[in-house]
Amino acid sequence: MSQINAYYIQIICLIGINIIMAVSLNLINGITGQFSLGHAGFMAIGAYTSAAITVYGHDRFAFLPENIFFILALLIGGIFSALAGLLVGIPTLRLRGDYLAIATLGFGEIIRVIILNLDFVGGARGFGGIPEYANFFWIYLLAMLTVIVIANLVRSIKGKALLAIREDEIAAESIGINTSQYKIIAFTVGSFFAGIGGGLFAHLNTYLHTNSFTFLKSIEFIVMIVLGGLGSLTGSIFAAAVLTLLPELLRGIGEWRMIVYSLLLILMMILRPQGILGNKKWK
Amino acid sequence: MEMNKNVVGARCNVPLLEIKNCSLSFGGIKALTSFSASLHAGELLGVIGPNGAGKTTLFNIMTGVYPPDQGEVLLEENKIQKLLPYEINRLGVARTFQNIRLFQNLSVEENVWVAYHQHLKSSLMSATFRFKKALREEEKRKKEAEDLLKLFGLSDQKTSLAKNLSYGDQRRLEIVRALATEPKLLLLDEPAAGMNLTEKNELTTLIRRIQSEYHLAILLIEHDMGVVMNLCPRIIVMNYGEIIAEGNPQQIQTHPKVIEAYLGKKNVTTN
Repeated sequence: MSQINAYYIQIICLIGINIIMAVSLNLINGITGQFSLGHAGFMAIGAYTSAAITVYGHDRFAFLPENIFFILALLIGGIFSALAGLLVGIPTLRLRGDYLAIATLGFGEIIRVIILNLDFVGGARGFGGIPEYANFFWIYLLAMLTVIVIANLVRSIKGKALLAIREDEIAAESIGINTSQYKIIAFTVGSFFAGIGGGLFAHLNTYLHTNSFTFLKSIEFIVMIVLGGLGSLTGSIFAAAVLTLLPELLRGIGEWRMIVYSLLLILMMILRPQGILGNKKWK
Repeated sequence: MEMNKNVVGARCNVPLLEIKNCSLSFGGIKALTSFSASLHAGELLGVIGPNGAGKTTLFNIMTGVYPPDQGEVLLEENKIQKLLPYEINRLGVARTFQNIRLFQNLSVEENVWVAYHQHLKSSLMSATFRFKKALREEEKRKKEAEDLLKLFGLSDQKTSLAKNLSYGDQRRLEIVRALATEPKLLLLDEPAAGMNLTEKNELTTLIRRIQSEYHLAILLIEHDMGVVMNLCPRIIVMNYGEIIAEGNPQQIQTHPKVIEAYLGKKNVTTN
């Protein structure tokens, strides 16, 4: 009985993490209109950074209460991820559309391969023994914060500059918007929250392997925001929940699972190409 | 009017915008050949010319879309030809586009709000965390946007998406958005394109009103002779990247080179 219970809690927690990932990617892709395929890479940076801190710093920082230690580790993971976002953002955001997608895809893979070759985080064996700090409470608290911050950002006049860039970059420049600066802000903030999501993932699973952060993972997040409706935060939240649950619900049909899953996605895109919630706004 | 001119006479001698010997070519095509012109504060200047005469290139040079190969663009005696479009806008040059470029999926009011973005002092951070000061500042700007929309008869549609406006309203909204950046110089790129006669007349009244109410300098690029002749006391005619004539509407209408550019050469057999 308790085993079944733990399984459900695990899935509910994963939904929370995926909400953070989808909403933060939506800031970059859906709201600012910059096609990034590197979100799993930023997630990996946050996951490995915070895990390394809690694993190696556990004894040294024993004087700190566990929760505070965990939050600090998450925060540093997020900041590292944001710095990586800034670092990638500055040279690559001159690229547009497909070119940016390829560059970010390459970046995500570079991160993964670098981590794969770092021995102190387990290398190819994977990184185990991470304390199980993350739980329902922390995950949903941070998911809520992510949503609130990003929703408020887009609600403000300055934040609307991001939407303006998505709509028409040339027109945005013509009314005094420094488009490069705003794109970098979107990238940095998005990566920060992706790093937080990664940190939560690490401390929920207690084991990390670079295979969890391939570009297919980035595609998964892209599918979530497209399905939910690009630019719609409510849509992202909804789609993150549905797409995390769906493969689990379809477990019963065994090998047909992925086929049905793919068919559902195709049908969805034919019937509602604008996404489940279209362009609906967060009220 | 006369007195006013005398009082500020000394300052008036310095043009608001000066284009000095600007040239630009795309590969072998000379889009602009040592073009020079100037514009004073509050003036309404029209630039006309047949398709491909270099009018839009001229705009793009003034707004930093591309820098000229040669020459200078001066705004209040400061060189701006190497600045980026957003920097030039912040110095007080706003523009509209030949093919309307609104933020289609944003509402009418949001289109105007973002234009105020450069005048907000509070940071993005304080706006995100909804600090009182930032919110108050935003409220003030939103009120201004509302007034501006009302003035241009768009406030009834303020919550509808920009893409759902009629063609004429979209053109108007683009002008409102440009005005919200609080420019000294407004560049209008073929505002009458695709308009019928009634719409053109409305536009003419609108431009006159903007100029008098906001004391703006306006540079109007137009394909349509009627609108320009009606509005602009001074007109520059371009063809193949060069100025072929300059003067008041009467002078332009009778200028042989203008007639040639628009209608072709008269086939006269001389004895």
